[in-house]
Amino acid sequence: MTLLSVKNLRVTFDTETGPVQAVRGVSFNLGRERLGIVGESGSGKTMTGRAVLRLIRKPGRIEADAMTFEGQDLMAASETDLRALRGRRIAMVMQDPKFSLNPVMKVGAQLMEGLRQRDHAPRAEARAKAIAALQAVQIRDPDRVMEAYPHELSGGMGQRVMIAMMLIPDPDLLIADEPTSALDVTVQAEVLNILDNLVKTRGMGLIFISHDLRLVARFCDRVLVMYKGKIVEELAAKDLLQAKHPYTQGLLNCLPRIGGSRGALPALDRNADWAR
Amino acid sequence: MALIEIENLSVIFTTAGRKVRAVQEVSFKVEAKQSFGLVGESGSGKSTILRAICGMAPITGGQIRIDGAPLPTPRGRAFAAQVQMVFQDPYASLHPRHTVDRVLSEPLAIHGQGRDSDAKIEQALVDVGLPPAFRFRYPHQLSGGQRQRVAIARALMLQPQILLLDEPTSALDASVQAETLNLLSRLRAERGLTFLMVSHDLAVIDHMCDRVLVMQNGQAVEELSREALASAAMITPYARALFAASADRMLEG
Repeated sequence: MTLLSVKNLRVTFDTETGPVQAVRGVSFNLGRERLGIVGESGSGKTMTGRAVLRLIRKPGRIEADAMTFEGQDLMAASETDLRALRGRRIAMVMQDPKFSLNPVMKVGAQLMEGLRQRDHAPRAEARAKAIAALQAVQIRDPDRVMEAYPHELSGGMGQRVMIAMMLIPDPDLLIADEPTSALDVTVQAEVLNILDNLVKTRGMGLIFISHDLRLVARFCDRVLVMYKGKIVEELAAKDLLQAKHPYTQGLLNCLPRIGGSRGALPALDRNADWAR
Repeated sequence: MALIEIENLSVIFTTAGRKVRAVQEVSFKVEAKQSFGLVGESGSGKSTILRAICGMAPITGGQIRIDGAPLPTPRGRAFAAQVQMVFQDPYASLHPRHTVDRVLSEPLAIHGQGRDSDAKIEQALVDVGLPPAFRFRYPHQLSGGQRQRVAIARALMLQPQILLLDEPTSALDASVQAETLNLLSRLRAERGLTFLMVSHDLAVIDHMCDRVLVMQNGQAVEELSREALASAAMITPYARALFAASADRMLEG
């Protein structure tokens, strides 16, 4: 069943040197599955994720032939409709905890804010839910973290706090933008397990934006490879390591490997023709 | 004699009356021109060791010796000329309102090496693979990889022997990471640098380092040579678990 359908999505910014298209005609369908979007910085993968929630500030423009979430037209939805969707139905984990958490508010208060304001949960219940969410993302000392300010947490802890925050309202679709880039491999595996469980047990849809090809190959069902705002290749995640497109191959080859040669790593060949 | 000697180092932070033992009695040695890696999960104390060396974290026990001499507190100019650090996040570690020129000229001015600073700055930019025209740009006019190159150029301005690298590529894309690692390898060969590098990516550590120390909860778990890492010859369960979680980074991946 299709949860999200995007047809010919374009995101344009007007700059002094003329309009710049960050996303140029992206189309995909998402069921209750794990879809990976990979590419370098500037390839438009984050903008694609944000555009789904219409989180692109003016003067940026979002255009699409169609963008529907469970039959609801996201392009025609009013701001009020979108507010009802954001967080509750479609949640997004942003990339950088340093810029996405409120620096002058304790973590506990930030976790409880949604529960108190949106669900009108009593204080004790909100607190219990917040602590449970922190435990679910493997934070060992949730009481200390609840009383901490974001600057007192490491990058990995901050990222887990954001994931916990997004999972509290039980969304149907989670857009995770580099959710594990600041985590070490063992915690990364734990966080991926949490996301995996949600997809499997609750039938959540997941858009997993990452530049880590090996991670996406292991974790997702299907992968879109983006380059300069376009999808250059779409393939099943298990076939990612045998990718045909030279850009995808280049991205794979420039990764260091345990036990590999210590010579210079191959640089990525960026061919302008792929972007046409 | 090893260039960097760390003996029973402990770092304890006190926050809100609670004691956090960030590093507990960790010891290791790094020979000159070697590269030594520290791996472990977040909060394992690996970055804190680098910060303790620089005087940015309180040393509550043990000793750090560079070239056989205990470190003075405060660290002083001689230390800065010998040891420099490259931070994880190039977006946070460069002053947003200082041009590249100012970032690179400041260490020279402080150390009274301001003569020929024009030529030195242009050479420093060329050395890290940036065009000299970038001299008058601000950090926001640079990409992440370019910023990390500026951060590396800044660390090398005083011709230090030792570079402390705190996750130098974890904020960068795979392709930019490859370019930055190649740059670091080249500079190490050209200048005979000694690296002490922190990363959570075993593949990056394996690519760059001769020896690696696995850390967990502030304690040293196991020290491995590069060969032992590649052949999975670790003894402790934690090091094995870390290795297993990185299995997709193996050569056959």
